[in-house]
Amino acid sequence: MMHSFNELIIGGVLLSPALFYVGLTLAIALAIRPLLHRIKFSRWFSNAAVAELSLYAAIFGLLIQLG
Amino acid sequence: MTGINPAEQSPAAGATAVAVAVAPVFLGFALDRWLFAFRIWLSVVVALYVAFWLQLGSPSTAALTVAILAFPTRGQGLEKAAYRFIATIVGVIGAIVICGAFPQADSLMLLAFAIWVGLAVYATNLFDGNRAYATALCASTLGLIAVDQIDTPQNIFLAGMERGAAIAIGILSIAIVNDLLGAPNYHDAIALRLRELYRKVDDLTRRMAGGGAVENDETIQLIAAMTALRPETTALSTESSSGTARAAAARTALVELVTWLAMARTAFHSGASVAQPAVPLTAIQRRVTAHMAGLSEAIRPSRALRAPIYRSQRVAAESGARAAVYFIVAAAVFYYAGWPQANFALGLVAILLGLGATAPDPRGFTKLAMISAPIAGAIAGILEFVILDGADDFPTLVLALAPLAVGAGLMMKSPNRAIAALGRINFIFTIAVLSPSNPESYDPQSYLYTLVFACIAPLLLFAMQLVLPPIPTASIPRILIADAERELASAPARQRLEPEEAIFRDADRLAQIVTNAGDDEKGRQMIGEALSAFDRSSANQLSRGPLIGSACQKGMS
Repeated sequence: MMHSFNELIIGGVLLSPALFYVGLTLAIALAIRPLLHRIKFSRWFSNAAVAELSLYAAIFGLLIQLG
Repeated sequence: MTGINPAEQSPAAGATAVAVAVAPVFLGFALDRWLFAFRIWLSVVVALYVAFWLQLGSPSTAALTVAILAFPTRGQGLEKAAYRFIATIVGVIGAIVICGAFPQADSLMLLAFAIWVGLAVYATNLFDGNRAYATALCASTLGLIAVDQIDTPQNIFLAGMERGAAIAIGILSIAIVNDLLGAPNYHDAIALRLRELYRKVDDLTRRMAGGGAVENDETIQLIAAMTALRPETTALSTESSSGTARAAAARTALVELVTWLAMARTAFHSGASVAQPAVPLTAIQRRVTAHMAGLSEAIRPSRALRAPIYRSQRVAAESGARAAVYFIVAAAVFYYAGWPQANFALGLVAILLGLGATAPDPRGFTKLAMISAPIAGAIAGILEFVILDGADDFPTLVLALAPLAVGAGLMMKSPNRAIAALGRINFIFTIAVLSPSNPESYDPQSYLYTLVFACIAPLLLFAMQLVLPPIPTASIPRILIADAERELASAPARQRLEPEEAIFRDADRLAQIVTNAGDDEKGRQMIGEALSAFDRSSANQLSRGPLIGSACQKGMS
């Protein structure tokens, strides 16, 4: 089944819906940073950078799926 | 007696241990330099591939973004990326507003551009590090978007959107490549530098306490090295979820290191007296050690300090006004010359003005651009017309870019700063002149115009800077010393800063004076005056505490 996206329109200008999801992912990622630090997320993995990148990718994918 | 226990374990031991670990060498370069160079190449290739795939109007901007964000560690690039993206949005909004406000009025529009560039340069002079870069980029974005589209203002929004998309792709490319290929963390490099500074301050304090000779030059160089690390510590915030804690620990350690040195000078060197110096010296040394451990362990200090910088409004305003004048004169020259692609050259002038404002010597930066432009043009020409020579398949482009990107990466990580700067500027210019697109036009006339105007723009700017020099470096120390003396006379006005923060701010001003004062007798005299003002100001700050007394013990918690 094809996933349909809601168009993003700002001031009459049609923008890519991906912009909305990227913006929301960024906002969520920034919001959960203190929580990740508190639970010492980076210490759970040998490569914390890849783990955090994967988390952001997962949030982005989830938002698209739910959108 | 200083109260410092020589047997106490020093963090410098860690630095020594790291220093002896010699990296493997391949073809005369350390392995980490090769890895960095290959990461850049891969990032450029990924950025171009995605930009071609999405059929963006300016795919070269994605490659250019990678060239600009190419740093050996993750944190540095990410912070700059964030500021680059924000500054692009601000620059595009500015371009739309100015073009919308002055339709069909070229002269007024150019005047508004000049004012915008002047304001951006003014703001650049009030910040440091990547914040200064961001404000400079506001001027550059205007040059790239509005000035380039001056004859077709209806395309500005589209050009801005395409530039924003290309920048986002460039940022994502280098961020993902750096993450997946294990680019080193920046906090390790900062920790190493802090340990080295700790060792030097400790050594200097011991010598002063023992009555040994300590040259003022040595102290000044150390203060300059410490304040220079300040913008680097802010880059830690973006590195990971623990970044803000690490940044706070590094920043606090840095501020307390400067305070430690100021206390030692006040107690043993400058002749001023502070009550019971032995206790705070020991306490502050332990606190610095604790903060350095906090940097490694990602623990936010219980009393996190800010690291304020000092910027002279007068210097910033004069620099901004001069930048606006340069832009107006350049616009007039190109307008009356009536050359084709003159808007490209004018845009380049705006870029050089913006980025030059982030360099300690704007005219030196223009000179470097003047040298780089023909070299980069020649490299781009060889790439386009000799190596690629009409090729239209992506793998050939990938292979053709390899020597350029890898060579630039090897140069950028050179310990020689001049080579590193030349490598970076040359890489950026080459990508800008080559301007990879899909399909590649291979138009010799377009290449020739781009090359000629890429050379003319820095040449014209340099000529203007000879006639009306950027604010003379010799007058900056005088202005800053006068500011310092004025503040000493009205010290209560700065009570909003913690004593350590105020000392760091004074140290930052001292470092600026040292950078701009010449190496002659007059310069040395000014540095002496500045150091004297720093010592007096430090003594004032140290005597007003909470630094001496309860806060020292509290900081250990």
